[in-house]
Amino acid sequence: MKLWVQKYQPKNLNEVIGQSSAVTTAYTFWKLFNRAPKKALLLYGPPGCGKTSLVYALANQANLEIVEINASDFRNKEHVKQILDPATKQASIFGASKIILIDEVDGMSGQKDRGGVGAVVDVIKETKFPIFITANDPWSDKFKTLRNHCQSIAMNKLSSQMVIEQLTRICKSEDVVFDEIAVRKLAATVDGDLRAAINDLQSLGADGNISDEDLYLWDRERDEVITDAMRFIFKSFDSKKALAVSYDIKEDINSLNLWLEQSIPWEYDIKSIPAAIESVSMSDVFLKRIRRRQHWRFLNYARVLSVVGVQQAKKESNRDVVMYKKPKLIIRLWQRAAKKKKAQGIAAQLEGKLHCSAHVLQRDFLPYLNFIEQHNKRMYNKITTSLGI
Amino acid sequence: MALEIWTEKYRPKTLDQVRGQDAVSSRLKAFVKSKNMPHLLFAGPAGVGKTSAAVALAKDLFGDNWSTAVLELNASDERGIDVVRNKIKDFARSRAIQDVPFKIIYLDEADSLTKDAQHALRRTMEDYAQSTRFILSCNYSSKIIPPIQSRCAIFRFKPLPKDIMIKILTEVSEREGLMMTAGALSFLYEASEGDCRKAENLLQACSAIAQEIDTKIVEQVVSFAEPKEVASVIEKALAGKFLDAKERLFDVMIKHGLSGMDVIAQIQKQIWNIDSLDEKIRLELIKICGDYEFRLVEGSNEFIQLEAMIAQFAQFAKGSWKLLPDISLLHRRKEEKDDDRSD
Repeated sequence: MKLWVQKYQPKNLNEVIGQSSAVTTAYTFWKLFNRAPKKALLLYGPPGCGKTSLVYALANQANLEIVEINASDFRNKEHVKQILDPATKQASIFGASKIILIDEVDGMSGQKDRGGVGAVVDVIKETKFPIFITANDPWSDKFKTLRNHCQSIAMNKLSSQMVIEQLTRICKSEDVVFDEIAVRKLAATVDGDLRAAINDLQSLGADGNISDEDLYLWDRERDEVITDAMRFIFKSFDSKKALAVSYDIKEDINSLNLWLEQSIPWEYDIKSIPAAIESVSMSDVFLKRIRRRQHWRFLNYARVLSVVGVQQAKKESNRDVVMYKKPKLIIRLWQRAAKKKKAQGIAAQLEGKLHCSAHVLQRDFLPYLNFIEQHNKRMYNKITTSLGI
Repeated sequence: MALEIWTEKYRPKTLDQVRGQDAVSSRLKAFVKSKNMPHLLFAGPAGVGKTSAAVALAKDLFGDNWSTAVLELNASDERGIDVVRNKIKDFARSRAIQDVPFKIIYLDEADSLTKDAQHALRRTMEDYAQSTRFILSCNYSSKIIPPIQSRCAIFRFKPLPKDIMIKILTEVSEREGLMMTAGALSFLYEASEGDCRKAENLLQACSAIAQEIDTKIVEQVVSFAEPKEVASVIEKALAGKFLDAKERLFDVMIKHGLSGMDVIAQIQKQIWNIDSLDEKIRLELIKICGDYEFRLVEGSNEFIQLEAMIAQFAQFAKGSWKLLPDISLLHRRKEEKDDDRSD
């Protein structure tokens, strides 16, 4: 199952929205690369405005191979050289059929990626192929030399109208029933970040519809209040105050738990983690009891467990600043559900033929079928044909 | 078209071919002879021949067109008893194509029905008893309500003995032109825990790589089908690397689409493979599993609960424990040595 951000990535430059001048610049830079005074193009702009997508769209349209280094790679001097050196020297048989993408260059961090930026500059000096570099904010001093070696083009924040159009298009293509106002609100909260908008859309639309109510929980602007609450929980010991703040957040305790779950390992050391997560776990149990028994008073316990339980689990507070990030767990739950659904679909087709239930098939048959698929395509085809799948 | 799945290809076609359940099959043959039978309850572990016995019984009773007189249902997969009831009603009311004294409804995994559903089923069994016989299959007969039990003749299926499993696997591999080493056969048996369906599926997967199968190949398939990443989750937790353990845990759940219950079951199994673990701590870990399994049963968020569980594990971190290879591998090594000696 593809993430929608991948599925709806622009396939060619025409599909890149709202960046006409950057598109023209990038295309010209690539087309006239041999005559270009600078051998790298720096695309900079806010998150989710289409920097990486633009490069991929170009590559896809012109059928180019991309050699990429991004934030998930180590980017110290040796690694950058190791990955990019061959790419800069080997001339491809078919001319300029290769481009180099250095994604999120401003994410190169001091310690781990030591010498990385310098290595990039070296590569630019020698390259035989066009280099594209993306960045949110290239204005720090350490990129000064790099900037001098690049042609730069700014990319604009997308307007909320553009975001709305894209979201609407995706909803239609994914058969998601949507409330127009909800989509409008979603677009307003992401502040021009289309990637964030599409990711939110996928999480919210996993059940096939998006209502105004869904959005209430997701409002990105609310992050400020919840991160305040988190700060009280993690950094202070004042339980009453933390509880008071917890009433201000728009998220319910369920969402608060997801936020806490994600941040606990970053805030606390191994001595405090078990007790903290234990509190979240018990809070979660109470939340489910509410649903089961419709006894809403349990909510008090859930809240205290989440807020005070996590707060008091620590011996002393961590002085480092921790960035509280939106919970990844929601998208993870969704990914797992998609995976399960696929397996269930196959199993359901087979249960009559193989005389056992779908869940037995999933457990005792599909893993072996997968194995056969990976190791012996012919046998796999023979089996699946005989099964009619 | 003949199915290329060995569990089907080599499924017994008559009661005579059902193996390892002599007490059961001789009584079933008596039903065939008298052309009559009561409702039946088949109880026993997975993959020992319950469905096979039911299918063979039907074939012996009804001949080639047996399938028109048999309705096969999965209690666990059908949504609610209403679906089951409607299907049963439709089937019981319709006339069989051929002239048979009764039709058979085979209800697999009947123990997954709720108490209420079972009571409803009991009525249905009575209402259609004239034209229809039920064969209920379950792992534990104790999960079937007494009124249903009292309406059925109960058949207890035993785990297949090792020699019979080995014989079955040997025959299958001979007919498929495979060469198996004695060690591989034995390991196959250990790894499938006496479950013949699993063993045959495993064997078929082995044949995807080679015609000559040794223990290494079996091991390769086993470790593919039963991801060992879970083991590394425990290893990391017990080494105090909580964040690593957590990320690994979530990845495994997503990659393999595992439910919380799947994971807990595997973790529990792996706890027994931790080398040099203080027995008291081992007991603690198992108790912790029980605690969190209870919370899962209550319906809480699986990710959060499992994460809390491994955080509890991490409290026992002290030095580092090494996980032994799977227990079944140990058995195998021992037996391989025995093989060597006998050679």
